[in-house]
Amino acid sequence: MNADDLKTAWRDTGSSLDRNEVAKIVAEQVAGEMRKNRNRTSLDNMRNAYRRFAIFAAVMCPVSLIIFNSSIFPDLQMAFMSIAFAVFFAVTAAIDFSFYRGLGRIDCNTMTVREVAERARHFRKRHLRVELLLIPFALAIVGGLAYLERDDPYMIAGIVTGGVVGGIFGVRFFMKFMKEYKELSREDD
Amino acid sequence: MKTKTNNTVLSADEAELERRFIEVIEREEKTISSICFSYACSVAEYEDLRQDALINIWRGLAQFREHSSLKTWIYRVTLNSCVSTIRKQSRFGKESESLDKLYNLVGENPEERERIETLHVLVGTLGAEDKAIMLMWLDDASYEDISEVLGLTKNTVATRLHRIKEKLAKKYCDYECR
Repeated sequence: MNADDLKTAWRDTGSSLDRNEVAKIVAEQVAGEMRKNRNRTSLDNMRNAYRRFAIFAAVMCPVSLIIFNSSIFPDLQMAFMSIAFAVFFAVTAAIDFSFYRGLGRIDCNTMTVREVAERARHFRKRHLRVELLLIPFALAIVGGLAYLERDDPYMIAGIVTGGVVGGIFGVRFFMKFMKEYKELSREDD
Repeated sequence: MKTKTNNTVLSADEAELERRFIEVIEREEKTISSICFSYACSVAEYEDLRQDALINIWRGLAQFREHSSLKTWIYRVTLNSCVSTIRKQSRFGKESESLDKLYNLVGENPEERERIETLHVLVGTLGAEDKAIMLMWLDDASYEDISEVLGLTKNTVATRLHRIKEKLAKKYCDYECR
Protein backbone atom coordinates (compact mmCIF):
# COMPACT_ATOMS: atom_id res chain seq x y z
CA MET A 1 0.00 0.00 0.00
CA ASN A 2 1.64 3.23 -1.11
CA ALA A 3 0.82 6.78 0.02
CA ASP A 4 -1.95 7.18 -2.58
CA ASP A 5 -3.57 3.90 -1.51
CA LEU A 6 -3.48 4.98 2.13
CA LYS A 7 -5.13 8.29 1.28
CA THR A 8 -7.75 6.55 -0.89
CA ALA A 9 -8.53 4.20 2.00
CA TRP A 10 -8.80 7.21 4.33
CA ARG A 11 -11.21 8.99 1.98
CA ASP A 12 -13.24 5.77 1.68
CA THR A 13 -13.45 5.60 5.49
CA GLY A 14 -14.81 9.14 5.69
CA SER A 15 -17.34 8.62 2.88
CA SER A 16 -18.58 5.31 4.31
CA LEU A 17 -19.09 6.70 7.79
CA ASP A 18 -20.78 9.79 6.39
CA ARG A 19 -23.26 7.52 4.57
CA ASN A 20 -24.25 5.81 7.82
CA GLU A 21 -25.10 8.85 9.86
CA VAL A 22 -27.14 11.98 9.58
CA ALA A 23 -24.71 14.45 11.11
CA LYS A 24 -27.34 17.08 11.86
CA ILE A 25 -29.52 14.66 13.87
CA VAL A 26 -26.55 13.48 15.93
CA ALA A 27 -25.41 17.05 16.54
CA GLU A 28 -28.92 18.11 17.63
CA GLN A 29 -29.11 15.17 19.99
CA VAL A 30 -25.79 16.05 21.62
CA ALA A 31 -26.76 19.73 21.83
CA GLY A 32 -30.03 18.78 23.54
CA GLU A 33 -28.23 16.61 26.10
CA MET A 34 -25.59 19.28 26.73
CA ARG A 35 -28.28 21.89 27.41
CA LYS A 36 -29.69 19.62 30.10
CA ASN A 37 -26.16 19.08 31.52
CA ARG A 38 -26.58 15.37 30.93
CA ASN A 39 -23.58 14.49 28.86
CA ARG A 40 -20.30 13.32 30.30
CA THR A 41 -17.17 12.24 28.47
CA SER A 42 -15.23 9.08 29.40
CA LEU A 43 -12.70 11.33 31.12
CA ASP A 44 -15.48 12.95 33.20
CA ASN A 45 -16.75 9.49 34.19
CA MET A 46 -13.25 8.40 35.19
CA ARG A 47 -12.78 11.55 37.30
CA ASN A 48 -16.13 10.99 38.97
CA ALA A 49 -15.17 7.38 39.72
CA TYR A 50 -11.94 8.51 41.43
CA ARG A 51 -13.90 11.10 43.40
CA ARG A 52 -16.40 8.45 44.58
CA PHE A 53 -13.59 6.09 45.62
CA ALA A 54 -11.82 8.95 47.44
CA ILE A 55 -14.98 9.82 49.36
CA PHE A 56 -15.64 6.15 50.19
CA ALA A 57 -12.08 5.63 51.43
CA ALA A 58 -12.17 8.87 53.42
CA VAL A 59 -15.37 7.71 55.14
CA MET A 60 -13.98 4.20 55.79
CA CYS A 61 -10.94 5.67 57.54
CA PRO A 62 -12.78 6.76 60.73
CA VAL A 63 -15.30 3.90 60.36
CA SER A 64 -12.54 1.27 60.52
CA LEU A 65 -11.10 2.99 63.62
CA ILE A 66 -14.52 2.79 65.27
CA ILE A 67 -15.34 -0.79 64.24
CA PHE A 68 -12.02 -2.32 65.25
CA ASN A 69 -12.03 -0.53 68.60
CA SER A 70 -15.61 -1.41 69.45
CA SER A 71 -16.92 -4.27 71.58
CA ILE A 72 -17.08 -6.47 68.44
CA PHE A 73 -13.31 -6.87 68.64
CA PRO A 74 -12.31 -6.46 72.33
CA ASP A 75 -8.62 -6.97 71.82
CA LEU A 76 -5.60 -4.71 72.21
CA GLN A 77 -4.06 -6.12 69.05
CA MET A 78 -7.15 -4.98 67.15
CA ALA A 79 -6.06 -1.41 67.87
CA PHE A 80 -3.08 -2.01 65.59
CA MET A 81 -5.38 -3.54 62.96
CA SER A 82 -7.69 -0.55 63.15
CA ILE A 83 -4.75 1.81 62.61
CA ALA A 84 -3.49 -0.32 59.69
CA PHE A 85 -6.92 -0.23 58.02
CA ALA A 86 -7.31 3.49 58.70
CA VAL A 87 -3.88 4.22 57.19
CA PHE A 88 -4.70 2.05 54.15
CA PHE A 89 -7.97 3.93 53.57
CA ALA A 90 -6.37 7.32 54.18
CA VAL A 91 -3.63 6.56 51.62
CA THR A 92 -6.11 5.34 48.99
CA ALA A 93 -8.34 8.37 49.60
CA ALA A 94 -5.37 10.72 49.08
CA ILE A 95 -4.22 8.88 45.94
CA ASP A 96 -7.70 8.79 44.40
CA PHE A 97 -8.21 12.47 45.17
CA SER A 98 -4.89 13.32 43.49
CA PHE A 99 -5.99 11.38 40.39
CA TYR A 100 -9.32 13.24 40.44
CA ARG A 101 -7.52 16.60 40.55
CA GLY A 102 -4.88 15.61 37.99
CA LEU A 103 -7.33 14.33 35.39
CA GLY A 104 -9.33 17.53 35.79
CA ARG A 105 -6.34 19.50 34.48
CA ILE A 106 -6.46 17.76 31.10
CA ASP A 107 -7.99 20.24 28.66
CA CYS A 108 -8.83 18.74 25.26
CA ASN A 109 -9.62 22.16 23.81
CA THR A 110 -6.34 23.96 24.39
CA MET A 111 -3.60 21.42 25.07
CA THR A 112 -1.52 19.80 22.33
CA VAL A 113 -2.09 16.12 21.54
CA ARG A 114 1.38 15.34 22.86
CA GLU A 115 0.59 16.93 26.22
CA VAL A 116 -2.77 15.15 26.57
CA ALA A 117 -1.34 11.78 25.50
CA GLU A 118 1.60 12.14 27.94
CA ARG A 119 -0.69 13.07 30.83
CA ALA A 120 -3.11 10.23 30.07
CA ARG A 121 -0.20 7.75 29.94
CA HIS A 122 1.32 9.21 33.12
CA PHE A 123 -1.92 8.82 35.08
CA ARG A 124 -2.57 5.34 33.74
CA LYS A 125 0.97 4.20 34.67
CA ARG A 126 0.65 5.78 38.11
CA HIS A 127 -2.69 4.01 38.61
CA LEU A 128 -1.10 0.66 37.70
CA ARG A 129 1.94 1.28 39.96
CA VAL A 130 -0.28 2.25 42.89
CA GLU A 131 -2.38 -0.92 42.42
CA LEU A 132 0.79 -3.00 42.46
CA LEU A 133 1.99 -1.30 45.67
CA LEU A 134 -1.33 -1.38 47.52
CA ILE A 135 -2.07 -5.04 46.85
CA PRO A 136 0.74 -6.43 49.08
CA PHE A 137 -0.23 -3.85 51.72
CA ALA A 138 -3.84 -5.09 51.59
CA LEU A 139 -2.68 -8.72 51.70
CA ALA A 140 -0.54 -7.98 54.77
CA ILE A 141 -3.53 -6.44 56.55
CA VAL A 142 -5.82 -9.35 55.70
CA GLY A 143 -3.04 -11.76 56.72
CA GLY A 144 -2.75 -9.92 60.04
CA LEU A 145 -6.49 -10.19 60.56
CA ALA A 146 -6.38 -13.94 59.76
CA TYR A 147 -3.59 -14.39 62.33
CA LEU A 148 -5.49 -12.49 65.04
CA GLU A 149 -8.68 -14.43 64.34
CA ARG A 150 -6.95 -17.79 63.87
CA ASP A 151 -9.17 -19.40 66.53
CA ASP A 152 -12.33 -18.54 64.59
CA PRO A 153 -12.78 -21.26 61.90
CA TYR A 154 -15.50 -19.35 60.02
CA MET A 155 -13.34 -16.26 59.73
CA ILE A 156 -10.37 -18.35 58.53
CA ALA A 157 -12.56 -20.22 56.01
CA GLY A 158 -13.81 -16.89 54.65
CA ILE A 159 -10.33 -15.45 54.36
CA VAL A 160 -8.93 -18.58 52.67
CA THR A 161 -11.83 -18.72 50.18
CA GLY A 162 -11.36 -15.05 49.39
CA GLY A 163 -7.62 -15.62 49.04
CA VAL A 164 -8.05 -18.50 46.56
CA VAL A 165 -10.59 -16.64 44.41
CA GLY A 166 -8.49 -13.49 44.62
CA GLY A 167 -5.38 -15.44 43.65
CA ILE A 168 -7.01 -16.82 40.49
CA PHE A 169 -8.18 -13.38 39.38
CA GLY A 170 -4.92 -11.90 40.61
CA VAL A 171 -2.78 -13.90 38.18
CA ARG A 172 -4.94 -12.84 35.22
CA PHE A 173 -4.93 -9.24 36.44
CA PHE A 174 -1.14 -9.32 36.78
CA MET A 175 -0.70 -10.56 33.18
CA LYS A 176 -2.99 -7.78 31.85
CA PHE A 177 -1.21 -5.24 34.04
CA MET A 178 2.23 -6.20 32.68
CA LYS A 179 0.97 -6.08 29.08
CA GLU A 180 -0.59 -2.65 29.51
CA TYR A 181 2.37 -1.23 31.46
CA LYS A 182 4.75 -2.46 28.77
CA GLU A 183 2.64 -0.80 26.01
CA LEU A 184 2.48 2.50 27.91
CA SER A 185 6.25 2.45 28.54
CA ARG A 186 6.88 1.73 24.85
CA GLU A 187 4.89 4.83 23.87
CA ASP A 188 6.91 6.95 26.29
CA ASP A 189 10.17 6.06 24.49
CA MET B 1 -34.68 37.18 21.88
CA LYS B 2 -35.70 33.65 22.69
CA THR B 3 -35.91 30.70 20.33
CA LYS B 4 -37.91 27.54 20.84
CA THR B 5 -36.07 24.30 20.06
CA ASN B 6 -37.55 20.91 20.87
CA ASN B 7 -40.02 22.47 23.33
CA THR B 8 -37.23 24.26 25.19
CA VAL B 9 -36.94 28.02 25.16
CA LEU B 10 -33.36 29.14 24.47
CA SER B 11 -31.72 32.51 24.86
CA ALA B 12 -30.23 34.15 21.75
CA ASP B 13 -26.69 33.12 22.83
CA GLU B 14 -27.69 29.50 23.41
CA ALA B 15 -29.52 29.36 20.08
CA GLU B 16 -26.49 30.87 18.31
CA LEU B 17 -24.14 28.36 19.97
CA GLU B 18 -26.38 25.49 18.97
CA ARG B 19 -26.61 26.78 15.40
CA ARG B 20 -22.80 27.10 15.18
CA PHE B 21 -22.33 23.66 16.72
CA ILE B 22 -24.64 21.95 14.23
CA GLU B 23 -23.03 23.82 11.34
CA VAL B 24 -19.52 22.77 12.47
CA ILE B 25 -20.49 19.13 12.94
CA GLU B 26 -22.24 18.92 9.56
CA ARG B 27 -19.11 20.32 7.91
CA GLU B 28 -16.50 18.29 9.81
CA GLU B 29 -18.41 15.04 10.43
CA LYS B 30 -16.21 13.04 8.03
CA THR B 31 -12.98 14.08 9.77
CA ILE B 32 -14.38 13.53 13.27
CA SER B 33 -15.87 10.11 12.46
CA SER B 34 -12.79 8.90 10.55
CA ILE B 35 -10.44 9.84 13.40
CA CYS B 36 -12.66 8.17 16.02
CA PHE B 37 -13.02 5.08 13.81
CA SER B 38 -9.24 4.80 13.53
CA TYR B 39 -8.77 4.83 17.32
CA ALA B 40 -11.63 2.38 18.00
CA CYS B 41 -11.57 -1.41 18.26
CA SER B 42 -15.30 -1.93 18.51
CA VAL B 43 -18.57 -0.24 17.53
CA ALA B 44 -19.23 0.74 21.17
CA GLU B 45 -15.78 2.31 21.47
CA TYR B 46 -16.24 4.20 18.16
CA GLU B 47 -19.56 5.61 19.36
CA ASP B 48 -18.09 6.54 22.76
CA LEU B 49 -15.09 8.29 21.18
CA ARG B 50 -17.31 10.21 18.78
CA GLN B 51 -19.66 11.20 21.58
CA ASP B 52 -16.68 12.43 23.65
CA ALA B 53 -15.39 14.43 20.69
CA LEU B 54 -18.77 16.07 20.10
CA ILE B 55 -19.17 16.93 23.78
CA ASN B 56 -15.69 18.50 23.91
CA ILE B 57 -16.40 20.46 20.71
CA TRP B 58 -19.62 21.79 22.23
CA ARG B 59 -17.82 22.78 25.43
CA GLY B 60 -14.98 24.50 23.59
CA LEU B 61 -16.98 26.18 20.84
CA ALA B 62 -18.27 28.97 23.05
CA GLN B 63 -14.66 29.93 23.97
CA PHE B 64 -13.14 29.30 20.54
CA ARG B 65 -11.53 32.45 19.25
CA GLU B 66 -10.13 32.44 15.75
CA HIS B 67 -6.45 32.30 16.80
CA SER B 68 -6.18 29.13 14.76
CA SER B 69 -8.41 27.81 11.99
CA LEU B 70 -11.55 25.96 12.98
CA LYS B 71 -10.38 22.83 11.13
CA THR B 72 -7.11 22.77 13.12
CA TRP B 73 -9.06 23.17 16.34
CA ILE B 74 -11.40 20.29 15.38
CA TYR B 75 -8.35 18.07 14.79
CA ARG B 76 -6.98 19.06 18.21
CA VAL B 77 -10.21 18.42 20.11
CA THR B 78 -11.05 15.14 18.33
CA LEU B 79 -7.55 13.69 18.63
CA ASN B 80 -7.31 14.77 22.27
CA SER B 81 -10.67 13.14 23.00
CA CYS B 82 -9.35 9.89 21.52
CA VAL B 83 -5.90 9.86 23.20
CA SER B 84 -7.25 10.85 26.61
CA THR B 85 -9.59 7.85 26.74
CA ILE B 86 -8.23 4.74 28.41
CA ARG B 87 -9.31 1.88 26.20
CA LYS B 88 -11.43 -0.76 27.89
CA GLN B 89 -9.79 -4.13 27.44
CA SER B 90 -11.89 -6.41 25.22
CA ARG B 91 -12.96 -9.64 26.79
CA PHE B 92 -10.44 -12.35 26.00
CA GLY B 93 -11.10 -13.82 22.56
CA LYS B 94 -13.71 -11.24 21.64
CA GLU B 95 -11.38 -8.77 19.90
CA SER B 96 -11.78 -10.14 16.35
CA GLU B 97 -15.57 -10.31 16.79
CA SER B 98 -15.63 -6.66 17.89
CA LEU B 99 -13.47 -5.62 14.94
CA ASP B 100 -15.72 -7.46 12.45
CA LYS B 101 -18.72 -5.56 13.74
CA LEU B 102 -16.74 -2.31 13.50
CA TYR B 103 -15.79 -3.02 9.88
CA ASN B 104 -19.46 -3.69 9.09
CA LEU B 105 -19.98 0.07 9.48
CA VAL B 106 -17.85 0.79 6.44
CA GLY B 107 -17.31 -0.34 2.88
CA GLU B 108 -20.48 -1.66 1.34
CA ASN B 109 -18.31 -2.84 -1.50
CA PRO B 110 -15.76 -5.60 -0.63
CA GLU B 111 -12.80 -3.86 -2.25
CA GLU B 112 -13.44 -0.64 -0.35
CA ARG B 113 -13.91 -2.58 2.89
CA GLU B 114 -10.62 -4.42 2.42
CA ARG B 115 -8.74 -1.12 1.88
CA ILE B 116 -10.35 0.43 4.96
CA GLU B 117 -9.66 -2.68 7.04
CA THR B 118 -6.01 -2.77 5.98
CA LEU B 119 -5.57 0.92 6.81
CA HIS B 120 -7.25 0.43 10.20
CA VAL B 121 -4.99 -2.54 11.04
CA LEU B 122 -1.83 -0.70 9.95
CA VAL B 123 -2.70 2.50 11.80
CA GLY B 124 -3.66 0.39 14.83
CA THR B 125 -0.03 -0.67 15.22
CA LEU B 126 1.05 2.95 15.87
CA GLY B 127 1.27 4.68 19.26
CA ALA B 128 -1.23 7.40 20.10
CA GLU B 129 0.93 10.33 18.92
CA ASP B 130 2.21 8.63 15.77
CA LYS B 131 -1.36 7.72 14.94
CA ALA B 132 -2.39 11.37 15.33
CA ILE B 133 0.40 12.50 12.97
CA MET B 134 -0.53 9.85 10.44
CA LEU B 135 -4.26 10.60 10.50
CA MET B 136 -3.73 14.33 10.04
CA TRP B 137 -1.35 13.66 7.14
CA LEU B 138 -3.93 11.32 5.57
CA ASP B 139 -6.49 14.11 5.91
CA ASP B 140 -4.12 16.40 3.92
CA ALA B 141 -3.32 18.63 6.91
CA SER B 142 -0.24 20.83 6.43
CA TYR B 143 2.97 20.20 8.40
CA GLU B 144 2.30 23.51 10.12
CA ASP B 145 -1.13 22.36 11.32
CA ILE B 146 0.24 18.99 12.41
CA SER B 147 3.05 20.64 14.38
CA GLU B 148 0.60 23.08 16.02
CA VAL B 149 -1.87 20.37 17.04
CA LEU B 150 0.74 17.85 18.17
CA GLY B 151 3.03 20.38 19.87
CA LEU B 152 6.07 19.37 17.82
CA THR B 153 8.37 21.31 15.52
CA LYS B 154 7.85 20.98 11.77
CA ASN B 155 11.18 19.16 11.41
CA THR B 156 10.16 16.64 14.05
CA VAL B 157 6.85 16.10 12.28
CA ALA B 158 8.64 15.49 8.97
CA THR B 159 11.11 13.05 10.56
CA ARG B 160 8.48 11.16 12.45
CA LEU B 161 6.20 10.98 9.43
CA HIS B 162 9.01 9.51 7.38
CA ARG B 163 9.69 6.89 10.08
CA ILE B 164 5.98 6.11 10.39
CA LYS B 165 5.65 5.51 6.65
CA GLU B 166 8.66 3.18 6.70
CA LYS B 167 7.23 1.30 9.64
CA LEU B 168 3.84 0.96 7.94
CA ALA B 169 5.44 -0.26 4.71
CA LYS B 170 7.17 -3.03 6.68
CA LYS B 171 3.99 -3.86 8.61
CA TYR B 172 2.05 -4.02 5.35
CA CYS B 173 4.49 -6.62 3.99
CA ASP B 174 4.09 -8.68 7.16
CA TYR B 175 0.30 -8.27 6.99
CA GLU B 176 0.15 -9.41 3.37
CA CYS B 177 2.35 -12.42 4.07
CA ARG B 178 0.18 -13.76 6.92
